[in-house]
Amino acid sequence: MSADTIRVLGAMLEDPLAWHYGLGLSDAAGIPSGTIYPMLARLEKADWLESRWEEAGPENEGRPRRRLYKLTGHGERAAMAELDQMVAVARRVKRSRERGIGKKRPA
Amino acid sequence: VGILVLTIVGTVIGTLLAIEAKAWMPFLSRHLMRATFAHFPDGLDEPLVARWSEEIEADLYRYRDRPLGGLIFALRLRLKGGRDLAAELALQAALGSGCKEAEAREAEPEPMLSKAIAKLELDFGASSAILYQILLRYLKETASSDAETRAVGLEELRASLAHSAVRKTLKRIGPPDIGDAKGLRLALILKALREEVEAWSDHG
Repeated sequence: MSADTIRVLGAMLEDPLAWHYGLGLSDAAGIPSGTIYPMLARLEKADWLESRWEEAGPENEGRPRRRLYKLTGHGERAAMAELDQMVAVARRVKRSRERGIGKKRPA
Repeated sequence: VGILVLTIVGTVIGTLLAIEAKAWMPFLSRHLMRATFAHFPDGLDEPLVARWSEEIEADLYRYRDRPLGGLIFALRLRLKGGRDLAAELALQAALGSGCKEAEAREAEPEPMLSKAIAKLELDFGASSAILYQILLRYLKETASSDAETRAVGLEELRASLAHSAVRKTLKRIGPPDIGDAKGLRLALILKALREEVEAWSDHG
């Protein structure tokens, strides 16, 4: 899974029950807007996300409607599993680097 | 007096230009955004293009009070995001109906194959999954004993590979670093595809 996808999933997992929109997720994940939409479409295709157009209301009057995305139950579990795996790898690398403190890289 | 007049005229012209620019920038931003989408090749997934276009238009609205920010957003989309979106869609178009044909001819039930492809997309990105499907189709063509069918399959593959977006993606994709059977299969397929591209490029 790409680092950008992990970052987007991480942003969504901060509030897994909330509906998010593309630009908000781009900002939160620090990835360029525009490139996020194919990624969201892929995640939706794999049933990790569900999406809908926002409903008209006073809070969005006069502006174009947004597409909203939310993690599905399956997506939340799968995303957590991916993040756990990443954390495990990071811990393993950190431990091995800590064990290697003092060792110098050969020239 | 001359300097004073020049300063006043300069300030007035500068102010007028700034007002004009402020009025024109949102128009230019929207034009750039629409040009990005209008630039996509024909025959792409139209509902998806329309959806992304609407989503990005909503994004652009956030810059309604910051015309320069909106213009920069639209420019970045045109230069970077638009290219990624176009490449993504072009890859899908390169596969075209061949994907559906491959799915239809696949022995395992369609939902299972779709699920496997969705997993590949998540693991390797859509481009790899689409290339996998292109190759799947090609391998099926070449598995037949008919030389003419093999030649047609190869020509179709070459036509798909001729698209610059596909070739760029191939260069970008590294070998998958996983040990399972699917990963190995994908690695072999990508290797074969790379060789094919190289041979084709040398030939071209």
